[in-house]
Amino acid sequence: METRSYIIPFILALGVHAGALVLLGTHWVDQEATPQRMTPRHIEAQMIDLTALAQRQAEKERAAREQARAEEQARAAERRRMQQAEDKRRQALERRKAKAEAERKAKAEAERERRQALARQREAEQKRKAEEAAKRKAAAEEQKRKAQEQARREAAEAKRKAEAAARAEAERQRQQARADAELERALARERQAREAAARRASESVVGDMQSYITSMLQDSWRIPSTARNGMEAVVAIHFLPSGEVDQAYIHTSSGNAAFDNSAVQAVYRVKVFPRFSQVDPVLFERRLRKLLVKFRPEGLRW
Amino acid sequence: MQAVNLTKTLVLSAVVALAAGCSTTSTTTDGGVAGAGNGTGTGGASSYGVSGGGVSGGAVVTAEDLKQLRTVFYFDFDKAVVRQDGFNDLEAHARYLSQNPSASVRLEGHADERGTREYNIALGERRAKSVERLLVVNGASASQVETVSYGEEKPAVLGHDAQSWSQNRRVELKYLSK
Amino acid sequence: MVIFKRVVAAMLMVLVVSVARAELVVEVTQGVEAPTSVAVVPFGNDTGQALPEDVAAIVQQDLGRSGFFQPMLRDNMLGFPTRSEDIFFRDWRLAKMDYVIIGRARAQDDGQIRIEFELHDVLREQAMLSEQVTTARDNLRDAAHLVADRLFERLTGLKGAFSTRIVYVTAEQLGPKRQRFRLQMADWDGARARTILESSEPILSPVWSMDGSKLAYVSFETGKPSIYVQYLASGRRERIQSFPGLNGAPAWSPDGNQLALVLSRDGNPEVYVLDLRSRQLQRITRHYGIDTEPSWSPDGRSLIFTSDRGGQPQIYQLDLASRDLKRLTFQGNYNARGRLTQDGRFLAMVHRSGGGGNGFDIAVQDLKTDRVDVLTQSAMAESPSIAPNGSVVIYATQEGTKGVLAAVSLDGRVQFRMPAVSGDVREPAWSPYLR
Repeated sequence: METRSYIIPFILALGVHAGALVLLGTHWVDQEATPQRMTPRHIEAQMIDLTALAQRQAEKERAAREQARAEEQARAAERRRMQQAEDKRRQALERRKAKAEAERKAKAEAERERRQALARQREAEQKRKAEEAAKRKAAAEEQKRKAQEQARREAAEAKRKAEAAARAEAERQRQQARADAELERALARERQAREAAARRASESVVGDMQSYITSMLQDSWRIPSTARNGMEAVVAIHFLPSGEVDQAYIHTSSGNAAFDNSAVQAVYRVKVFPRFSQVDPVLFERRLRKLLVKFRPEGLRW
Repeated sequence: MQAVNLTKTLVLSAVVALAAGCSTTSTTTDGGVAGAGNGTGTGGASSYGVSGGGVSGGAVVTAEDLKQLRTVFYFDFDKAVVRQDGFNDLEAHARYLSQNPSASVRLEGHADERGTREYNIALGERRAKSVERLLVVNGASASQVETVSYGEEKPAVLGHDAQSWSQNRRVELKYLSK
Repeated sequence: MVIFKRVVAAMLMVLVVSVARAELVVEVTQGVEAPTSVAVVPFGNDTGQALPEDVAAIVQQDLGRSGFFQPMLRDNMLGFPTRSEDIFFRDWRLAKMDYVIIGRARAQDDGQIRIEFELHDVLREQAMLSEQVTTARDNLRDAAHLVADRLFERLTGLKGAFSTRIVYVTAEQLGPKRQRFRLQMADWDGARARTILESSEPILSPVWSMDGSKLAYVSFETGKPSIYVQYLASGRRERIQSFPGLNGAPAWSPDGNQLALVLSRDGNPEVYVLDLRSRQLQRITRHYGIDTEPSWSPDGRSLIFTSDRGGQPQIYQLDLASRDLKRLTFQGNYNARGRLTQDGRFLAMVHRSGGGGNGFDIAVQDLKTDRVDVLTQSAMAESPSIAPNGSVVIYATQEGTKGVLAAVSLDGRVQFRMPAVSGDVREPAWSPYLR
């Protein structure tokens, strides 16, 4: 029944489509021909009546528009028919489903009632058994509880005692540690202060020695005639703890031989810097055994 | 340049003064002339009209007259400007040269010993050139005059004092032919 | 990234370590400005014969006159060691000597004399130089100057100029109008003078070519000034083309191809440059004032000269390429005949301060700072000429009424007179290095 209902609309639609295709085909061909005439031949185009051309163009357009409208109407009718067929089919299906559902529900209700009766029976049986077991278990529980209680009391007592002892010990230790740390901090503070003082002292000793060496060398430096402002020579000096010059040599040359010589000679002319012997040996070792002296004349004529 | 201008001005005024002196033998007319001709000078030109010596007024300068003319002209330190007191004699020399085209002179420029030798040679050269210009302006021909500078190499006086120096800053005019 | 971090960390470590271990640095900016003390011990003589020259004495005089050294007087020496093992450094140290120079003369089989000499550092107690010079017996002065050159160079780093020569002009008054002029050449210390030109007319402005082979000078022998070039080896002379008027103040370019000179052929004294190969003359200055005394800068790119264009003589510098003119001197009312040191830094010149003193002195101007130092206290100093190593300026001055030569170290510390010769002496010119 459903198949038959589709045949006629199908043939109709086919016919409509074929008609539309034929109409469209001629239209496309015409349209293709037009630009060919338009482009190169100006003189030929002039001879065609422009209004006639426009009318024919308009007619063609109108025909195409009607054709399109007819096709659209045919397509809409087809759509409507197919929608109605589909609706009908769906309604039939709904009806069948509802009937099957009602049957299934009735069957399930009967089954549930049967199972509930069975369960009630089983429940009563289990309850009776459980009550008996509970009675038995309660007696055993009571006994066990009493024994456990006794053990727990004893353990707690022991634990309490041990904990008290531990707490006391910890407290003692904590106090000890605190005291130790306090002492440590005090000692550290003292040590730092001592070190800072020593550092300050040694810095001041080093500073003193610096100006001492400078003044000794200024007295002994014979600036040669070739010296010019801006020249600079660095002499490295190795001292013995007695203050005697172990060796002195050019570390960075001025580029002027006489100037370099004069700088090294200034050191050897002093030869001994007696105040070194008063310096703490460790400080000497650390800071004063090797020195660099920069000879850089200022205020020369040139 | 200023020196040259000054020299020219002085020469002009000296010439005018001389001419005035000759024609009028009067000192009173010269003031106006000197004033007009000499804006920067000392105005001393008027005195030369009368004190110009025996030959200055004569139209013709003879070889005999030359003996009475000065041949050494002095200069200030580091200057090449001929002093006014030499103008009369130089003018007479110039007149002689113009009247005797076969005569010729050599001008020897000198400087005192102060300053450097080459600079003094240049200074002596400029002094000789100053005198040469005066001669030419007054009628001598440039071809009759040659110059040479000895700088400080040939002092007239060997002393090393201001008096000696002033005598050494000079141009000597020497006749090569009369 | 990790590697980078490590590298950075390592670098930081190095930095920290190096900072921590940096040596203490002391700065010395003041000292005693004094000549270096040196003892030149009389040299031993192992030749078996008396020697015609006291080599050590010449060395001592050379070093002392340079202005760089303060030699110890022989009378103050405690001993005369001639070998290094005989030097008692402690004694020389107590005598405040920085260096001791010893030496000895030995006869060689070929009849030549070998001078062995040593330089010892008293303070370090070590030898700094030990060399020898071989020479003919009659040439010991040259050998002595050579020894001094070697020692000077070792001690100062500057090439010694003791083997150089000077030329100068003497003038003698023979009669009221008769003079004799001589161009003479001598060792730098004035010894061994000999005449290379004699004339009854003035000679002036002698100047050495840079290779030391010839001189240029001005001679009035024809009655007019002309510039001559004289070859020292042969004595041959050439007269440079002369022009009317002034021909003076010759100056060789450093490359020896050009001669700057002064001509007045265009009206007044101007500086010209003559190309000696093409004989082309180029006018350099153009001013109605006096332009004279040209001298080349050591690089040959500019000329300095004296000009009175500012109203009084001052020294100017003209760049030959750009023709830019720069006035160099501003202190004093007379600055002339400038000469530059070989390093181009210092200008020696004749200077008159203009203030209270009216004399002409030798002054040196530091062109870097324009500081001017007057080196002499003279009424009449002129013609400064600088040693090729820039240590000493020789100049002409007057002693009493006589012209003499004197020299002063560039710093003014040491002044000395050249040995007296007959007549007035003037126009000294110091040779370049001759070997």
